Amino acid sequence: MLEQQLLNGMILGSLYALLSVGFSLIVGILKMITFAHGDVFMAGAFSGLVALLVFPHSFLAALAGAVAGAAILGAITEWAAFRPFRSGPEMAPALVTIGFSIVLQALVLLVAGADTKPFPFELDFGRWTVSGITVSGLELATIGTALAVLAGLGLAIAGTRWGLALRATAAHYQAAQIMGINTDRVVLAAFVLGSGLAGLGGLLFGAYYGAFYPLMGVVISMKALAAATLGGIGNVGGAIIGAYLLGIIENLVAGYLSANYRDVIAFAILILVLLIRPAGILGRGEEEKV
Amino acid sequence: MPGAVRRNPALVALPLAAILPFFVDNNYVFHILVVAGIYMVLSMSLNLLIGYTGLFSFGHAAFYGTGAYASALLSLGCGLPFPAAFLASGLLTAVFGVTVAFPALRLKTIFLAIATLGLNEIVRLFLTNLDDVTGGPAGLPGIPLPDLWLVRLEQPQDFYLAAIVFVTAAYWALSNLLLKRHGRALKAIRDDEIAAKAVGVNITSYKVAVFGISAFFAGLAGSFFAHYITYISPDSFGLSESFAIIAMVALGGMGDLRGSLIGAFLLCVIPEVFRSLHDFRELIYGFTIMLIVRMLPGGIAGWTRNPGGWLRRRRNDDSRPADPRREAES
Repeated sequence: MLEQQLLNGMILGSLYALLSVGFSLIVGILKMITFAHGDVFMAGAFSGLVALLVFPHSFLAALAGAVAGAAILGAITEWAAFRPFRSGPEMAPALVTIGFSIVLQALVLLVAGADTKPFPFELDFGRWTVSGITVSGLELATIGTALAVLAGLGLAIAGTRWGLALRATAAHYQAAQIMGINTDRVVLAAFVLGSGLAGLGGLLFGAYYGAFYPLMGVVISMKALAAATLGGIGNVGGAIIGAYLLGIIENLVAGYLSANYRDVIAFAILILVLLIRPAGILGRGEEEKV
Repeated sequence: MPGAVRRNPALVALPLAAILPFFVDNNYVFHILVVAGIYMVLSMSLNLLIGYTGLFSFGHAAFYGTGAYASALLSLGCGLPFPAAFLASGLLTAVFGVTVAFPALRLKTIFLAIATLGLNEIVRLFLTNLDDVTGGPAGLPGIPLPDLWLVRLEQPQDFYLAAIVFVTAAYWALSNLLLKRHGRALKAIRDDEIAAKAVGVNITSYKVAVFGISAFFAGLAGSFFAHYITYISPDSFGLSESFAIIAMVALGGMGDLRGSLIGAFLLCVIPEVFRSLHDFRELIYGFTIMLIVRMLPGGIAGWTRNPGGWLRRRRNDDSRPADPRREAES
C-alpha cells in the first residue's frame, strides 16, 4: 500500500516537475510570472496528437510533436508577453499571459472540441509485479523520461557556457547584459526549454490518464506553481524537489486521509511555505534594498 | 455637492442610466447590464488593492464567493431578510479580508500573487467539498429574490435599477475615501513603501484597511449576484473569475475608479456584441486582453489622460530606466 502510494507519487511528481521547472526558469530570470504555462502544456499535448496524424502509431513522434509544439508556443509567449515589458511594470506580462491562456484554450476548443480524448492507441510497454506493487512500462517510461530530461537540464545549467549565461542573467540581468551576454536570447532559450518540457509533460499526462481536453492544464499548472514555490521559486533544483515532494504528499493524503482534500493540501502547503519561508526549500532569501 | 459633481462626472452619468427603461424593453439587455454592474463593483474594489495600493491580489473571486455563499446561507439557513443578509455578508467578507491581510503583509509582487491564487483555490475547494453546508459541487439553488420592504425585485429591469443604486453608492463611497489624504497615502505605499513609511504613513494599518474595505465591497457584490441569479455554485468563483476581474481593472486603468467602471462595462459588453460568433467569443475575449495590455499599458484611463501618448511612449519608455543601451542614447 505505502509502496504503491509512493510510486503514484513519483509519477505525479514527474509530471509536476516537467511543469514546475518552466515556472522556475522564468521566475528565476525575469522575476515575472506566466499564467499561460498550463495551456502551453495542454496545447503541446494536443500538438503531439496532431503529430500522430502524420506518423500514426509512433509514440516517439507524439513526444517529439508535443515538445516542438509547446516550444514554439513558449517562444510566442516570450515574444508577445515578456519581451515588450522587459524590466517594465512587473504585472503587465502576467496580464498578457492571462489573455494568451484564454486564447489557447479557445483555439484548442474550436479545433478539437470540448470532449475528453483518449490516447489514440494502446500503449503497452509491459507490466511487472515486484513485491506486491504493480508497475507498468508507461509508468516507468514517465518517471524515467522525466528524470533523464531533468538531469540533462541540470547538467546543462551547471556545466555549459549557455548554462553559465543563464545563471549570470538570473543573478543580475543588467550586469549580464553589460558583460556581453545576449540576455534576450537567454530568456528566449529559457522559454523554449521550459515550454518544451511542459509539452513533454502534457503528452505523458494525457497518455497516462488517457485524457486530452482543453482545460487539462489549469489545475495541474497551479499545483506545479505550488511545487516550484515549495522548492524555492527561481531555483531549478528546488522546483524538481518540490514537485516530487508535492506528488508524494498528495498521494499519501489521498491514500490515508481523504481523497477530497488532496488539492487543498497542495495549496495549503503553498501558502504555508510563502508565509514561513518564502524562499522555499533551496532558495535564498533576498534582502530588501532601500 | 456641486463641487463633488464637477470632480466626479460619473456621479451624474451613473444615475442618468436609470432612464434607459423608458427607451428599451428587453430583459436580455437588462440582464447584461446588471451583470456589468456587479463586475463594476468587483473591479473597483480590486482596483483599491492592485491599482491604488500595489497589492497584487489575484484571488478576488475568493471574496466574491465568500459574500455570495454567506448571503445565500444567511437567507436560506437563518431566514434573514435580504437587506440584513446583504450587509452581513459584506461585513463577514470584510472580516475574512482582514484575516487574509495580516499574513499577506509579509508578501510582495509575484509572491503575493501566487499566495492569493492559492487562497482562491482553497476557498473554491472548500465550497466544493463541504457538501453539508454549501451543497458541494451542485451548489445552492432557491436563493430568495430580494424583498426591500416596499418593493420586491423580480424582473431584470428591477435589478437594473437596484444595480444603478448599488454601483453609484459604491463609487461614491470609494471615491470619497480616496479623495484626499488616504488616496495619496495608498499611492505612496504603492510607489515606494520605504519612502511612505519615512514620511509617516502607517503602512500596516493602511494595508489591512484596504484589504477589509475591498473584501467588503466584493462581498456585497457576491450577495447581489446570489440574490439576482438565485443559484450559486463553486464554479462561479474560480481562478478564471479572478482573472476576468483583473483584466477589467487593467483595461480601465490601474489606480482609477472611473476606469474600472468602463473596463468592467466593456469586458461584459464586448463578448455579447460578438454573440453571433459564439464559438469565437472566448478567442476574441482573450485577444482583447492581450492587445489592451500591450497597447494601452495605462488602461483606458491612462489613455484619456494622454491620448496618443502610447505611440510616443513605446519609443521613449520612461518605465524602463534600467536598460543601459537606452541610458546611453539619451
